[in-house]
Amino acid sequence: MSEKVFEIAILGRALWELHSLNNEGNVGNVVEPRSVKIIDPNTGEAVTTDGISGEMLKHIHSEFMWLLDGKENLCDACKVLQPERFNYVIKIGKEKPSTVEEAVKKALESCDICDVHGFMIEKPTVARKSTIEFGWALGIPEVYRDIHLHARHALGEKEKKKNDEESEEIRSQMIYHRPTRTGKYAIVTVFQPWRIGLNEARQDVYSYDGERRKERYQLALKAYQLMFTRPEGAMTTTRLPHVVDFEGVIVYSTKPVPVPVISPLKEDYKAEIKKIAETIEGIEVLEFKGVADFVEKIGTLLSKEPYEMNFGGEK
Amino acid sequence: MKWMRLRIHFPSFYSYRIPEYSSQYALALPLIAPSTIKLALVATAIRMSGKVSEGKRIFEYVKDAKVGIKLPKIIVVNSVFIKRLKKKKDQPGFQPSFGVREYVHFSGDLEVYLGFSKIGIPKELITYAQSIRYLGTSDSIVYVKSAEWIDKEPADAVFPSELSKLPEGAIIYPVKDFAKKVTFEQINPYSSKKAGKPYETKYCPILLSKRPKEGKNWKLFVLS
Repeated sequence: MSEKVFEIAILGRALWELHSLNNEGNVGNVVEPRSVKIIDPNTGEAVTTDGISGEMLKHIHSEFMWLLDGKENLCDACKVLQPERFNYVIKIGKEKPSTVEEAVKKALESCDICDVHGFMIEKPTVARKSTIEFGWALGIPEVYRDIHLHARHALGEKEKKKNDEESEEIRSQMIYHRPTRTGKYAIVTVFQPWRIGLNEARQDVYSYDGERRKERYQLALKAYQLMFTRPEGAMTTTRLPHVVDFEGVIVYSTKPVPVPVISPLKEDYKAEIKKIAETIEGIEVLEFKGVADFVEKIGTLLSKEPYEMNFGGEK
Repeated sequence: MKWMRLRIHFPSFYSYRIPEYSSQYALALPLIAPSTIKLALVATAIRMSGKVSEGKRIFEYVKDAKVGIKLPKIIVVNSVFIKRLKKKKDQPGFQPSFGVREYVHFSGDLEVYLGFSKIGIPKELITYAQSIRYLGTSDSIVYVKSAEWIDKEPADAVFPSELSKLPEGAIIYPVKDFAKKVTFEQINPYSSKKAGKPYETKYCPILLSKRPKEGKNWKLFVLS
Protein backbone atom coordinates (compact mmCIF):
# COMPACT_ATOMS: atom_id res chain seq x y z
CA MET A 1 0.00 0.00 0.00
CA SER A 2 1.52 3.34 -1.00
CA GLU A 3 1.83 6.23 1.41
CA LYS A 4 -1.17 8.51 1.85
CA VAL A 5 -0.79 12.26 1.57
CA PHE A 6 -2.88 14.56 3.72
CA GLU A 7 -1.48 17.98 2.75
CA ILE A 8 1.28 19.34 0.54
CA ALA A 9 2.91 22.77 0.69
CA ILE A 10 5.31 24.15 -1.87
CA LEU A 11 7.46 26.93 -0.44
CA GLY A 12 10.22 28.37 -2.50
CA ARG A 13 11.94 31.19 -4.29
CA ALA A 14 11.32 31.44 -8.04
CA LEU A 15 13.64 33.54 -10.20
CA TRP A 16 11.67 34.93 -13.14
CA GLU A 17 13.28 37.44 -15.50
CA LEU A 18 11.76 40.04 -17.80
CA HIS A 19 8.18 39.05 -17.08
CA SER A 20 5.00 41.00 -16.53
CA LEU A 21 2.79 38.30 -15.07
CA ASN A 22 0.49 40.53 -13.07
CA ASN A 23 -0.29 44.25 -13.37
CA GLU A 24 -2.30 46.83 -11.51
CA GLY A 25 -4.02 48.20 -14.61
CA ASN A 26 -3.78 51.03 -17.15
CA VAL A 27 -3.22 54.66 -16.30
CA GLY A 28 -3.54 56.42 -19.63
CA ASN A 29 -1.13 54.64 -21.98
CA VAL A 30 0.96 53.20 -19.16
CA VAL A 31 0.46 49.72 -17.69
CA GLU A 32 1.35 49.87 -14.03
CA PRO A 33 3.06 46.85 -12.43
CA ARG A 34 1.69 45.44 -9.20
CA SER A 35 3.45 47.25 -6.36
CA VAL A 36 3.08 46.18 -2.77
CA LYS A 37 4.58 47.26 0.49
CA ILE A 38 5.96 44.51 2.72
CA ILE A 39 8.04 44.30 5.84
CA ASP A 40 11.22 42.44 5.04
CA PRO A 41 11.39 39.88 7.86
CA ASN A 42 15.18 39.79 7.62
CA THR A 43 15.74 43.49 8.25
CA GLY A 44 12.43 44.64 9.77
CA GLU A 45 12.31 47.42 7.19
CA ALA A 46 9.22 48.34 5.17
CA VAL A 47 10.06 48.08 1.47
CA THR A 48 8.16 48.44 -1.79
CA THR A 49 8.36 45.38 -3.97
CA ASP A 50 6.63 43.52 -6.77
CA GLY A 51 3.64 41.26 -6.20
CA ILE A 52 1.81 38.60 -8.18
CA SER A 53 -1.61 37.93 -6.75
CA GLY A 54 -2.71 34.52 -5.53
CA GLU A 55 -5.65 34.83 -7.94
CA MET A 56 -3.22 35.00 -10.87
CA LEU A 57 -1.25 31.97 -9.66
CA LYS A 58 -4.45 30.00 -9.08
CA HIS A 59 -5.62 30.93 -12.57
CA ILE A 60 -2.33 29.65 -14.05
CA HIS A 61 -2.67 26.36 -12.16
CA SER A 62 -6.31 25.80 -13.18
CA GLU A 63 -5.50 26.47 -16.86
CA PHE A 64 -2.80 23.81 -16.79
CA MET A 65 -5.24 21.39 -15.14
CA TRP A 66 -7.67 22.10 -17.96
CA LEU A 67 -4.94 21.56 -20.57
CA LEU A 68 -3.96 18.21 -19.07
CA ASP A 69 -7.52 17.02 -18.52
CA GLY A 70 -9.16 14.64 -20.99
CA LYS A 71 -12.24 16.96 -20.81
CA GLU A 72 -14.64 14.04 -20.29
CA ASN A 73 -14.34 14.68 -16.56
CA LEU A 74 -15.17 18.37 -16.72
CA CYS A 75 -18.56 20.05 -16.30
CA ASP A 76 -20.02 22.05 -19.22
CA ALA A 77 -18.63 25.28 -17.74
CA CYS A 78 -15.07 24.08 -17.10
CA LYS A 79 -14.86 22.44 -20.55
CA VAL A 80 -14.80 25.97 -21.98
CA LEU A 81 -13.14 27.61 -18.93
CA GLN A 82 -16.36 29.45 -18.04
CA PRO A 83 -15.43 31.12 -14.72
CA GLU A 84 -18.79 30.45 -13.05
CA ARG A 85 -17.94 26.74 -12.88
CA PHE A 86 -20.78 24.49 -11.71
CA ASN A 87 -23.13 27.41 -11.08
CA TYR A 88 -23.32 27.80 -14.88
CA VAL A 89 -24.42 24.16 -15.26
CA ILE A 90 -27.30 24.83 -12.86
CA LYS A 91 -28.08 28.19 -14.47
CA ILE A 92 -28.60 26.64 -17.91
CA GLY A 93 -30.88 24.02 -16.31
CA LYS A 94 -28.71 21.01 -17.03
CA GLU A 95 -28.72 20.07 -13.35
CA LYS A 96 -31.44 20.93 -10.86
CA PRO A 97 -30.25 20.00 -7.38
CA SER A 98 -32.74 20.70 -4.62
CA THR A 99 -30.39 20.60 -1.62
CA VAL A 100 -26.88 21.94 -0.97
CA GLU A 101 -25.64 18.40 -0.39
CA GLU A 102 -26.93 17.29 -3.75
CA ALA A 103 -25.51 20.36 -5.51
CA VAL A 104 -22.01 19.76 -4.09
CA LYS A 105 -22.24 16.02 -4.82
CA LYS A 106 -23.14 16.58 -8.47
CA ALA A 107 -20.36 19.13 -8.97
CA LEU A 108 -17.75 16.88 -7.37
CA GLU A 109 -18.85 13.83 -9.33
CA SER A 110 -18.85 15.56 -12.69
CA CYS A 111 -15.88 17.91 -12.69
CA ASP A 112 -12.15 17.67 -11.93
CA ILE A 113 -11.62 21.43 -11.82
CA CYS A 114 -14.69 22.21 -9.68
CA ASP A 115 -13.57 19.56 -7.21
CA VAL A 116 -9.97 20.74 -6.95
CA HIS A 117 -10.36 24.51 -7.40
CA GLY A 118 -13.70 25.12 -5.65
CA PHE A 119 -16.88 26.89 -6.75
CA MET A 120 -19.86 28.98 -5.65
CA ILE A 121 -23.48 28.13 -6.39
CA GLU A 122 -26.29 30.65 -6.16
CA LYS A 123 -29.28 28.31 -5.82
CA PRO A 124 -29.18 26.43 -3.56
CA THR A 125 -26.60 28.76 -2.02
CA VAL A 126 -23.41 26.93 -1.24
CA ALA A 127 -19.69 27.51 -1.63
CA ARG A 128 -16.97 24.91 -1.66
CA LYS A 129 -13.48 26.05 -0.80
CA SER A 130 -10.65 25.23 -3.13
CA THR A 131 -8.36 22.35 -2.18
CA ILE A 132 -5.51 24.42 -3.64
CA GLU A 133 -4.52 27.74 -2.15
CA PHE A 134 -1.99 30.34 -3.23
CA GLY A 135 -0.64 33.23 -1.24
CA TRP A 136 0.66 36.31 -3.05
CA ALA A 137 4.02 35.72 -4.71
CA LEU A 138 6.09 38.51 -3.17
CA GLY A 139 9.25 39.93 -4.67
CA ILE A 140 12.18 39.29 -2.39
CA PRO A 141 13.86 42.67 -2.13
CA GLU A 142 14.93 43.69 -4.48
CA VAL A 143 13.12 43.14 -7.79
CA TYR A 144 14.36 45.11 -10.80
CA ARG A 145 11.54 46.88 -12.60
CA ASP A 146 11.49 48.90 -15.74
CA ILE A 147 8.83 50.50 -17.88
CA HIS A 148 9.56 50.38 -21.61
CA LEU A 149 8.42 52.76 -24.28
CA HIS A 150 6.85 51.24 -27.40
CA ALA A 151 5.34 52.78 -30.51
CA ARG A 152 2.65 51.40 -32.75
CA HIS A 153 3.88 51.03 -36.33
CA ALA A 154 2.94 53.84 -38.70
CA LEU A 155 1.64 52.91 -42.10
CA GLY A 156 4.01 52.96 -45.10
CA GLU A 157 4.68 55.95 -47.36
CA LYS A 158 2.06 54.89 -49.89
CA GLU A 159 -0.68 55.07 -47.29
CA LYS A 160 0.63 58.36 -45.95
CA LYS A 161 -0.09 60.10 -49.25
CA LYS A 162 -3.80 59.70 -48.70
CA ASN A 163 -5.15 62.80 -47.08
CA ASP A 164 -8.50 61.77 -45.73
CA GLU A 165 -9.27 61.96 -42.05
CA GLU A 166 -9.15 58.24 -41.40
CA SER A 167 -5.64 57.71 -42.71
CA GLU A 168 -4.49 60.79 -40.82
CA GLU A 169 -5.59 59.09 -37.65
CA ILE A 170 -3.86 55.83 -38.56
CA ARG A 171 -0.65 57.63 -39.51
CA SER A 172 -0.16 59.25 -36.14
CA GLN A 173 2.06 57.05 -34.02
CA MET A 174 0.73 55.90 -30.70
CA ILE A 175 3.22 55.42 -27.92
CA TYR A 176 2.61 53.19 -24.93
CA HIS A 177 4.50 51.92 -21.92
CA ARG A 178 4.80 48.33 -20.70
CA PRO A 179 6.55 47.05 -17.56
CA THR A 180 8.99 44.18 -17.11
CA ARG A 181 10.41 42.81 -13.90
CA THR A 182 13.30 40.58 -12.91
CA GLY A 183 13.63 39.08 -9.50
CA LYS A 184 13.13 36.33 -6.99
CA TYR A 185 9.61 35.71 -5.70
CA ALA A 186 8.55 34.03 -2.48
CA ILE A 187 6.01 31.34 -3.40
CA VAL A 188 3.49 29.89 -0.96
CA THR A 189 0.94 27.29 -1.99
CA VAL A 190 -0.94 24.61 -0.08
CA PHE A 191 -2.75 21.61 -1.59
CA GLN A 192 -5.11 19.50 0.52
CA PRO A 193 -5.47 16.11 -1.21
CA TRP A 194 -7.52 14.76 1.72
CA ARG A 195 -10.39 17.06 0.73
CA ILE A 196 -10.60 15.84 -2.88
CA GLY A 197 -14.13 14.49 -3.33
CA LEU A 198 -15.19 15.44 0.19
CA ASN A 199 -18.76 16.69 0.25
CA GLU A 200 -18.41 19.46 2.80
CA ALA A 201 -22.12 20.14 2.93
CA ARG A 202 -22.28 16.80 4.78
CA GLN A 203 -18.64 16.93 5.88
CA ASP A 204 -18.24 13.21 6.50
CA VAL A 205 -18.95 11.83 3.01
CA TYR A 206 -16.67 11.37 0.01
CA SER A 207 -18.69 11.69 -3.19
CA TYR A 208 -16.92 8.98 -5.20
CA ASP A 209 -14.40 6.18 -4.87
CA GLY A 210 -10.62 6.07 -4.52
CA GLU A 211 -9.42 5.73 -8.11
CA ARG A 212 -11.04 8.97 -9.26
CA ARG A 213 -9.62 10.76 -6.23
CA LYS A 214 -6.13 9.60 -7.13
CA GLU A 215 -6.53 10.71 -10.75
CA ARG A 216 -7.53 14.20 -9.63
CA TYR A 217 -4.67 14.29 -7.13
CA GLN A 218 -2.22 13.42 -9.92
CA LEU A 219 -3.76 15.97 -12.27
CA ALA A 220 -3.27 18.74 -9.69
CA LEU A 221 0.36 17.72 -9.10
CA LYS A 222 1.14 17.62 -12.82
CA ALA A 223 -0.32 21.11 -13.19
CA TYR A 224 2.07 22.27 -10.45
CA GLN A 225 4.98 20.81 -12.43
CA LEU A 226 3.95 22.77 -15.52
CA MET A 227 3.17 26.07 -13.86
CA PHE A 228 6.65 26.42 -12.42
CA THR A 229 8.21 25.18 -15.65
CA ARG A 230 6.33 27.65 -17.81
CA PRO A 231 4.28 30.25 -15.93
CA GLU A 232 1.48 31.60 -18.13
CA GLY A 233 0.06 34.83 -16.79
CA ALA A 234 -0.56 38.31 -18.13
CA MET A 235 1.33 39.64 -21.17
CA THR A 236 3.01 36.32 -22.00
CA THR A 237 2.49 36.95 -25.73
CA THR A 238 5.30 39.49 -25.54
CA ARG A 239 6.77 39.01 -22.07
CA LEU A 240 6.96 35.28 -21.58
CA PRO A 241 8.97 34.93 -18.37
CA HIS A 242 12.54 33.69 -18.56
CA VAL A 243 12.31 30.89 -16.02
CA VAL A 244 15.76 30.79 -14.45
CA ASP A 245 15.47 29.05 -11.12
CA PHE A 246 13.14 27.65 -8.52
CA GLU A 247 14.48 26.39 -5.22
CA GLY A 248 12.83 25.55 -1.95
CA VAL A 249 10.99 22.77 -0.16
CA ILE A 250 7.99 20.53 -0.75
CA VAL A 251 6.49 19.66 2.61
CA TYR A 252 3.88 16.94 2.94
CA SER A 253 2.10 15.22 5.77
CA THR A 254 1.18 11.55 5.86
CA LYS A 255 -1.04 11.95 8.91
CA PRO A 256 -3.85 14.45 9.53
CA VAL A 257 -1.57 17.26 10.66
CA PRO A 258 -1.20 20.61 8.89
CA VAL A 259 2.06 21.10 7.04
CA PRO A 260 4.19 24.03 8.21
CA VAL A 261 4.01 27.02 5.89
CA ILE A 262 6.71 29.53 6.73
CA SER A 263 7.23 32.50 4.45
CA PRO A 264 10.12 32.11 1.98
CA LEU A 265 10.69 35.83 2.45
CA LYS A 266 12.63 34.71 5.51
CA GLU A 267 16.17 33.73 4.68
CA ASP A 268 16.09 30.81 7.12
CA TYR A 269 12.66 29.47 6.12
CA LYS A 270 13.99 26.06 5.08
CA ALA A 271 15.83 25.51 8.36
CA GLU A 272 12.72 26.47 10.35
CA ILE A 273 10.52 24.09 8.34
CA LYS A 274 12.99 21.25 8.74
CA LYS A 275 13.14 21.86 12.48
CA ILE A 276 9.33 21.73 12.73
CA ALA A 277 9.27 18.55 10.62
CA GLU A 278 11.74 16.90 12.98
CA THR A 279 9.52 17.55 15.98
CA ILE A 280 6.12 16.63 14.49
CA GLU A 281 5.44 13.08 13.45
CA GLY A 282 4.17 12.50 9.92
CA ILE A 283 5.75 15.51 8.19
CA GLU A 284 8.23 14.97 5.37
CA VAL A 285 10.41 17.58 3.64
CA LEU A 286 11.77 17.31 0.10
CA GLU A 287 14.29 20.00 -0.76
CA PHE A 288 14.63 21.00 -4.42
CA LYS A 289 17.31 23.00 -6.19
CA GLY A 290 16.29 24.11 -9.65
CA VAL A 291 13.21 23.66 -11.83
CA ALA A 292 14.15 20.17 -13.06
CA ASP A 293 14.71 19.00 -9.51
CA PHE A 294 11.33 20.45 -8.49
CA VAL A 295 9.58 18.56 -11.31
CA GLU A 296 11.33 15.36 -10.27
CA LYS A 297 10.50 15.77 -6.57
CA ILE A 298 6.82 16.46 -7.33
CA GLY A 299 6.97 13.35 -9.52
CA THR A 300 7.83 11.24 -6.47
CA LEU A 301 4.49 12.25 -4.94
CA LEU A 302 2.50 11.08 -7.97
CA SER A 303 2.67 7.43 -6.91
CA LYS A 304 1.23 8.20 -3.48
CA GLU A 305 -2.48 8.22 -2.57
CA PRO A 306 -4.67 11.11 -1.40
CA TYR A 307 -5.47 10.68 2.28
CA GLU A 308 -9.00 9.59 3.11
CA MET A 309 -10.36 10.49 6.52
CA ASN A 310 -12.22 7.73 8.29
CA PHE A 311 -14.90 9.83 9.92
CA GLY A 312 -17.02 7.03 11.25
CA GLY A 313 -20.19 9.08 10.99
CA GLU A 314 -22.25 10.83 13.62
CA LYS A 315 -23.03 8.84 16.78
CA MET B 1 -10.02 31.90 33.90
CA LYS B 2 -7.98 29.46 31.79
CA TRP B 3 -5.93 30.94 28.93
CA MET B 4 -4.82 29.48 25.62
CA ARG B 5 -2.11 31.21 23.57
CA LEU B 6 -1.77 30.73 19.82
CA ARG B 7 1.27 31.86 17.87
CA ILE B 8 0.12 32.47 14.33
CA HIS B 9 2.33 32.86 11.27
CA PHE B 10 1.07 34.37 8.00
CA PRO B 11 3.33 33.20 5.17
CA SER B 12 1.88 35.74 2.74
CA PHE B 13 -0.77 38.45 2.85
CA TYR B 14 -3.79 38.40 5.13
CA SER B 15 -7.13 39.87 4.10
CA TYR B 16 -10.30 40.10 6.15
CA ARG B 17 -12.93 42.70 5.43
CA ILE B 18 -13.97 45.21 8.11
CA PRO B 19 -17.50 44.23 9.21
CA GLU B 20 -20.33 45.95 7.29
CA TYR B 21 -17.93 47.44 4.73
CA SER B 22 -18.74 46.98 1.05
CA SER B 23 -17.32 43.97 -0.76
CA GLN B 24 -16.64 46.30 -3.71
CA TYR B 25 -14.38 48.46 -1.59
CA ALA B 26 -13.15 45.88 0.89
CA LEU B 27 -11.00 47.62 3.46
CA ALA B 28 -9.13 45.17 5.65
CA LEU B 29 -9.00 44.69 9.40
CA PRO B 30 -5.35 44.74 10.41
CA LEU B 31 -6.12 42.38 13.29
CA ILE B 32 -8.05 39.19 14.03
CA ALA B 33 -11.64 39.60 15.19
CA PRO B 34 -12.92 37.40 18.06
CA SER B 35 -15.59 35.83 15.85
CA THR B 36 -12.96 34.92 13.21
CA ILE B 37 -10.85 32.87 15.58
CA LYS B 38 -13.89 31.27 17.24
CA LEU B 39 -15.44 30.30 13.89
CA ALA B 40 -12.08 28.93 12.73
CA LEU B 41 -11.96 26.69 15.81
CA VAL B 42 -15.50 25.42 15.26
CA ALA B 43 -14.90 24.86 11.53
CA THR B 44 -11.64 23.01 12.21
CA ALA B 45 -13.34 20.81 14.80
CA ILE B 46 -15.99 19.82 12.22
CA ARG B 47 -13.41 19.34 9.50
CA MET B 48 -11.03 17.21 11.55
CA SER B 49 -13.71 15.05 13.17
CA GLY B 50 -16.16 14.89 10.27
CA LYS B 51 -18.91 15.52 12.80
CA VAL B 52 -21.06 18.60 12.92
CA SER B 53 -21.93 17.58 16.49
CA GLU B 54 -18.24 17.99 17.42
CA GLY B 55 -18.32 21.54 16.09
CA LYS B 56 -21.43 22.17 18.13
CA ARG B 57 -19.74 20.81 21.26
CA ILE B 58 -16.66 23.03 20.75
CA PHE B 59 -18.90 26.01 20.00
CA GLU B 60 -20.44 25.74 23.47
CA TYR B 61 -17.00 26.26 25.03
CA VAL B 62 -15.65 28.96 22.73
CA LYS B 63 -18.76 31.09 22.19
CA ASP B 64 -18.26 33.30 25.25
CA ALA B 65 -14.44 33.06 25.39
CA LYS B 66 -12.59 36.31 25.89
CA VAL B 67 -10.30 37.03 22.93
CA GLY B 68 -7.20 39.18 23.10
CA ILE B 69 -4.54 39.84 20.52
CA LYS B 70 -0.92 40.90 20.52
CA LEU B 71 0.00 42.43 17.19
CA PRO B 72 3.51 42.60 15.73
CA LYS B 73 5.32 45.94 15.91
CA ILE B 74 4.81 46.97 12.26
CA ILE B 75 1.78 46.48 10.03
CA VAL B 76 1.46 47.37 6.36
CA VAL B 77 -1.89 47.59 4.59
CA ASN B 78 -1.86 47.41 0.77
CA SER B 79 -4.77 48.59 -1.32
CA VAL B 80 -5.10 46.59 -4.53
CA PHE B 81 -7.32 47.03 -7.57
CA ILE B 82 -8.79 43.70 -8.68
CA LYS B 83 -10.97 42.26 -11.41
CA ARG B 84 -13.70 40.01 -10.11
CA LEU B 85 -17.12 38.52 -10.83
CA LYS B 86 -20.17 39.83 -9.03
CA LYS B 87 -23.74 38.62 -8.88
CA LYS B 88 -26.05 40.11 -11.49
CA LYS B 89 -28.94 42.20 -10.21
CA ASP B 90 -32.33 40.44 -10.30
CA GLN B 91 -31.18 37.69 -12.63
CA PRO B 92 -29.08 34.55 -12.33
CA GLY B 93 -25.37 34.49 -12.99
CA PHE B 94 -22.35 36.70 -12.47
CA GLN B 95 -20.89 39.59 -14.38
CA PRO B 96 -17.33 40.92 -14.70
CA SER B 97 -16.66 43.77 -12.30
CA PHE B 98 -13.83 45.36 -10.40
CA GLY B 99 -13.14 46.32 -6.84
CA VAL B 100 -10.57 47.33 -4.30
CA ARG B 101 -9.30 44.94 -1.71
CA GLU B 102 -6.84 45.56 1.08
CA TYR B 103 -4.14 43.09 2.09
CA VAL B 104 -2.21 43.13 5.33
CA HIS B 105 1.42 42.18 5.95
CA PHE B 106 2.76 41.78 9.47
CA SER B 107 6.36 42.21 10.59
CA GLY B 108 6.19 39.04 12.67
CA ASP B 109 3.93 36.43 14.18
CA LEU B 110 0.67 37.27 15.93
CA GLU B 111 -0.33 36.08 19.33
CA VAL B 112 -3.99 35.34 19.99
CA TYR B 113 -5.28 34.64 23.49
CA LEU B 114 -8.50 32.88 24.36
CA GLY B 115 -9.78 33.05 27.91
CA PHE B 116 -12.25 30.36 29.07
CA SER B 117 -14.36 30.73 32.18
CA LYS B 118 -16.08 27.35 31.78
CA ILE B 119 -14.59 24.30 33.44
CA GLY B 120 -13.82 21.00 31.70
CA ILE B 121 -12.46 22.49 28.47
CA PRO B 122 -11.96 19.59 26.00
CA LYS B 123 -8.30 18.66 25.51
CA GLU B 124 -8.96 18.40 21.76
CA LEU B 125 -9.25 22.18 21.63
CA ILE B 126 -5.44 22.45 21.45
CA THR B 127 -5.33 19.99 18.55
CA TYR B 128 -8.01 21.90 16.68
CA ALA B 129 -6.25 25.20 17.33
CA GLN B 130 -3.01 23.79 15.90
CA SER B 131 -4.86 22.57 12.82
CA ILE B 132 -6.36 25.93 11.79
CA ARG B 133 -5.37 26.47 8.14
CA TYR B 134 -6.85 29.87 7.42
CA LEU B 135 -8.59 32.69 9.23
CA GLY B 136 -11.54 34.14 7.40
CA THR B 137 -11.24 33.48 3.70
CA SER B 138 -9.09 30.80 2.15
CA ASP B 139 -6.56 33.23 0.69
CA SER B 140 -5.49 34.13 4.20
CA ILE B 141 -3.36 31.06 4.75
CA VAL B 142 -1.99 30.67 8.26
CA TYR B 143 0.22 28.29 10.13
CA VAL B 144 -0.30 27.95 13.87
CA LYS B 145 3.23 27.56 15.19
CA SER B 146 2.07 26.70 18.68
CA ALA B 147 -1.02 26.45 20.86
CA GLU B 148 -0.52 26.12 24.59
CA TRP B 149 -2.17 26.77 27.94
CA ILE B 150 -0.74 29.61 30.03
CA ASP B 151 -1.43 30.56 33.63
CA LYS B 152 -1.84 34.32 33.64
CA GLU B 153 -3.99 36.77 31.77
CA PRO B 154 -1.75 38.39 29.11
CA ALA B 155 -1.03 41.90 30.33
CA ASP B 156 0.16 43.23 26.97
CA ALA B 157 -2.66 41.92 24.75
CA VAL B 158 -5.38 44.15 23.32
CA PHE B 159 -8.98 43.23 24.10
CA PRO B 160 -12.00 44.57 22.23
CA SER B 161 -14.47 46.56 24.28
CA GLU B 162 -17.26 49.11 24.10
CA LEU B 163 -16.60 52.50 22.51
CA SER B 164 -16.84 54.44 25.76
CA LYS B 165 -14.04 52.42 27.37
CA LEU B 166 -11.40 52.84 24.65
CA PRO B 167 -8.13 54.72 25.20
CA GLU B 168 -7.75 58.19 23.71
CA GLY B 169 -5.61 58.62 20.63
CA ALA B 170 -6.02 55.06 19.44
CA ILE B 171 -7.13 53.96 15.98
CA ILE B 172 -10.41 52.15 16.48
CA TYR B 173 -11.55 49.16 14.42
CA PRO B 174 -15.00 47.58 14.68
CA VAL B 175 -14.81 43.82 15.18
CA LYS B 176 -17.45 41.14 15.46
CA ASP B 177 -17.90 38.84 18.40
CA PHE B 178 -20.65 36.36 19.14
CA ALA B 179 -23.75 37.81 20.75
CA LYS B 180 -24.45 36.69 24.33
CA LYS B 181 -27.33 34.38 23.43
CA VAL B 182 -25.95 33.01 20.17
CA THR B 183 -26.81 29.43 19.23
CA PHE B 184 -24.96 27.01 16.98
CA GLU B 185 -27.80 27.06 14.44
CA GLN B 186 -27.29 30.80 14.01
CA ILE B 187 -23.69 30.43 12.88
CA ASN B 188 -24.18 27.24 10.87
CA PRO B 189 -24.27 28.30 7.19
CA TYR B 190 -26.09 25.07 6.25
CA SER B 191 -28.89 25.57 8.76
CA SER B 192 -32.39 26.05 7.37
CA LYS B 193 -33.33 28.27 10.31
CA LYS B 194 -33.09 32.05 10.15
CA ALA B 195 -29.80 33.31 11.57
CA GLY B 196 -31.19 36.39 13.31
CA LYS B 197 -28.39 38.39 14.91
CA PRO B 198 -25.61 36.04 15.98
CA TYR B 199 -22.96 38.78 16.23
CA GLU B 200 -22.45 41.98 18.14
CA THR B 201 -19.99 44.73 17.30
CA LYS B 202 -17.15 45.59 19.64
CA TYR B 203 -14.24 47.93 19.09
CA CYS B 204 -10.55 47.20 19.10
CA PRO B 205 -7.98 49.94 19.74
CA ILE B 206 -4.56 50.08 18.12
CA LEU B 207 -2.11 52.45 19.77
CA LEU B 208 0.56 53.84 17.46
CA SER B 209 3.98 55.19 18.37
CA LYS B 210 3.80 57.76 15.56
CA ARG B 211 1.48 58.97 12.83
CA PRO B 212 0.85 56.35 10.14
CA LYS B 213 2.84 56.73 6.92
CA GLU B 214 0.85 56.62 3.71
CA GLY B 215 1.67 56.08 0.05
CA LYS B 216 -0.40 55.88 -3.09
CA ASN B 217 -1.72 52.41 -2.28
CA TRP B 218 -0.38 51.58 1.17
CA LYS B 219 -0.44 52.56 4.84
CA LEU B 220 2.18 51.72 7.44
CA PHE B 221 1.46 51.51 11.16
CA VAL B 222 4.14 51.34 13.84
CA LEU B 223 2.62 50.23 17.13
CA SER B 224 3.63 51.63 20.48
